[in-house]
Amino acid sequence: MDIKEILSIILLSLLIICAISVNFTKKLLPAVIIFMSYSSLMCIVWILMESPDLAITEAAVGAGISGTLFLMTLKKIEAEDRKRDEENIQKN
Amino acid sequence: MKKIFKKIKELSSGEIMSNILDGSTEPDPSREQLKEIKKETIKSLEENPDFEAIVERQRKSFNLLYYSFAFIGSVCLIGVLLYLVSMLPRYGVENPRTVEVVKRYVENGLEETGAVNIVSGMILDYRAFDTLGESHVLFTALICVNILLRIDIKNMRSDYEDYYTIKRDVYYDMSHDGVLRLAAFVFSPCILTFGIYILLNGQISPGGGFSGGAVLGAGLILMSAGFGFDKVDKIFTLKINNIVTFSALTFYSFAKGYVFFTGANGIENHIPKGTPGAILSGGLILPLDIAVGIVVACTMFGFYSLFRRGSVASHING
Amino acid sequence: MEFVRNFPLFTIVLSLFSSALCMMLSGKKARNYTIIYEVVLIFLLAMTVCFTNSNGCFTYTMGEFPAPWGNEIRAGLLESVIALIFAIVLFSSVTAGWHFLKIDIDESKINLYYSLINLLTAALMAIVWTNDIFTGYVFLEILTLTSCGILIVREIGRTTLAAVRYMVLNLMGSGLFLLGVVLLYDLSGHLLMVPMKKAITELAADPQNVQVITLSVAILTIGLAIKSGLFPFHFWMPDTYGWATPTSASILSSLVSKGYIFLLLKIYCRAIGLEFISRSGIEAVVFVLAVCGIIFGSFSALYAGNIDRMVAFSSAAQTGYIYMGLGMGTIAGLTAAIFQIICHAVTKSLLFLSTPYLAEASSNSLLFKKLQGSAHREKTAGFFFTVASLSMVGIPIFAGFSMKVIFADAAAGLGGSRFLTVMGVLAVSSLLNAMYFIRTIVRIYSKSEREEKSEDPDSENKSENKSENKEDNKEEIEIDRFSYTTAGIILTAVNIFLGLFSWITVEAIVKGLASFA
Repeated sequence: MDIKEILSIILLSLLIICAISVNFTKKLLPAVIIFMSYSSLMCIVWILMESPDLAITEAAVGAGISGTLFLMTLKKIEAEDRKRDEENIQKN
Repeated sequence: MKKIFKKIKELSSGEIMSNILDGSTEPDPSREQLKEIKKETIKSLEENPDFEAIVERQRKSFNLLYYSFAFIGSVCLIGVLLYLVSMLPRYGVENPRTVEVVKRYVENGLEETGAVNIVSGMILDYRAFDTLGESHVLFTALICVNILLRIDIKNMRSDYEDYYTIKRDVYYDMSHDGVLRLAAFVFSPCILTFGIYILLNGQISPGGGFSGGAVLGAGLILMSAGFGFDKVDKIFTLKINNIVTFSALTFYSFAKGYVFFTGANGIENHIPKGTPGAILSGGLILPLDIAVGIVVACTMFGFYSLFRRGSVASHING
Repeated sequence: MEFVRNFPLFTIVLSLFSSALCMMLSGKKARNYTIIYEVVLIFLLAMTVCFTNSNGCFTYTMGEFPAPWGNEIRAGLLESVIALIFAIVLFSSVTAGWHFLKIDIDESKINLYYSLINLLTAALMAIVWTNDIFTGYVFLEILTLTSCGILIVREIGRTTLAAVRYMVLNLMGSGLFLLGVVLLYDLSGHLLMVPMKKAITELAADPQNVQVITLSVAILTIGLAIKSGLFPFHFWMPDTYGWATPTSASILSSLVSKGYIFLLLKIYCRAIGLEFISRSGIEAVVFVLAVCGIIFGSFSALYAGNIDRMVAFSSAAQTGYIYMGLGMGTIAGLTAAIFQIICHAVTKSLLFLSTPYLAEASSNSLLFKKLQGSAHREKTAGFFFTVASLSMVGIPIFAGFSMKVIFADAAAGLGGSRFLTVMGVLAVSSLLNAMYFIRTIVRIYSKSEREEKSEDPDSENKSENKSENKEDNKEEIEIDRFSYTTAGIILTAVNIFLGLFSWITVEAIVKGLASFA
């Protein structure tokens, strides 16, 4: 087996591990980060399959923008930081 | 017998847990009313322990059913898909059936479309109708997010909720984090230039409209996260956003409409193909790439802006 | 080449342009523009129907490259008739629902709503005309997103819940559909439907491949079945249709579900071939699920407590009829299914447009006990509701009766057990339909004793409603009332035309089906 096949097997098994662990994490922030790493792994898989267009788009959209939007959503729905925000506003 | 009949009635009307939803179209109860309802429910639960047990039992049986169905469904789907993929033709081996269509793209793609990057030629020339649909999918998503998240400052009540949200976002406006500011200062010019490079070189090297637009959008997001919304609002007002999106989409629809019209009616469409390898080549591919890229960049930045502060551009400039 | 051949392209491109334009205009201008554009659309489609009636179907290449390498659309008599009916129902829904749109939606978002409706029109037209399975997927995505958008635009809590549930289920259906498309592409090597059929027929000669193709087609079918409401997947219907603003409810139930079913029909006839479908057993499964759907839907409608939920469950039952026609496997069965698509589109929209007026006259409540006697307070809405319900039950002048006769006719061509099942199901479901629809008609027309005794509680309710709406001009209410009546008259006219002169439509459908495959 040459290096490409070994690399493919490692990457695909990491993909499966990422996908399953997103479901089983208790907190939301680590889940979003694992999701972003899933996208990055997928980007490398696309390069191994010789499609650079897809790799660029996957990196920009999956790991970049959709990850950012998820983090933004988490910020909007987490109410526990509210007290700290109120204090900070009163200080400024 | 009555119990079975009752259970069938419950299952068929789909109201196992949602007895509250069957009702009138009255508006939602206000905050004070909700507090009252909550107090009353807690009081009735405390007074009547049987009710709580019944709800608990219902929830447990529902959970059991739900998880077992979900598990069985997922395992079946995984099994079926694995079996199907194993029966498909192998990757990398030439399949005599698929060859018919792909052969013409690979062999004649360069001379028929004028683009060195065959993928761009294919999505913007051979199968341009699908790309027309895809760019409108992004536009639809932008409209839906606008509907959900846009705060209209004129109609905003001086409710504590909205006021607090906007004030909090104004506080977090300019990043007080040195690392983020430095990173934005160093990287955003590079990212924006790289995005424009990918856009313009869609027909020569890998890239094209969607990738270039996504990178441009990411650059704009980094800029606004690091420097605050004020700096970006100077170049990206609401008017610019609307006009740019509208003109890009209209140009795309009508340019492609013209190409389809002339192609189907056998008329010659006088679009030059240029020399392959130059920037101005590939017929309509370069303008369409730019149009798609601009729409994608505005959409991505619009999402970020709507999520952060409830409007695509500044509240002040409208 | 005649200019009429370009009309299908124009319907798609102009709708896409209109959606971008509506985003720029302000609320009322967007609405006026949309209504004018839809009249133009009906005119274009009527001319296409006349053209395809006399000249047969034609393909239209999208671009300069011919079939398997470039994209193409195809317009025949069947597609044109269905597109025309869709355009008529769309026009009626948009005109009639304006009164409630003003109340339900935030003023600054009305132009976005009309932008979504224009995108929905474009997606529907593209699904009707397409000859390529991947283009079907792209516009199916647009249809999904816009249908979630027109739901969520009403900002009360229950609608958001229903819309999120609808969106998750729809996205699952889209995912399964895409899996099916990808598998079929990998097997056959083509995305255009006619070359795909040739490749699949060649492949299916080898018994090893039959199982693979059957599983791929089954995944595709399950995806579309989730989106259109076949039996086990119909549970999203009551919440979605019940809590949407009337225009959205009527568009969703009459047009969007039917678009998905029409795409499934097209894939079965043109991309895979009906012989393969009957040979592989998918047809039998669809038939059984459809029969269960009819019976379950009718039983659930009996126990619904609220009029919109009842109408939504009867929608699930009527979708079961369409799938039953598909599952029969004969051309007569397909004709019956398509006739039911047209008939249901016209009837269900009238129902969903009338119930909110009845509710508004009964202190804004949809509960049955409050709707008692509401037809006397709202004469036009009561009349249109009665017409539509009688059509659903199957009373002779209306379209429902012709639909049931055509189904019985199609069943007579089958043998043995299927024939008995179809006749039995027709009888039982007509009985159940009669039970809950006629009960509702009686209820809305009979005054309650409280009302007969004293008019005071009612006049209090009425004065409350009137004081809330005092802000609207009396003139505006008159115009809204007039547009609702016009839309109702158009839909009733089409209904009675389908009922009395059904052979014209059936002949057109049969002629269209002959060149459909």
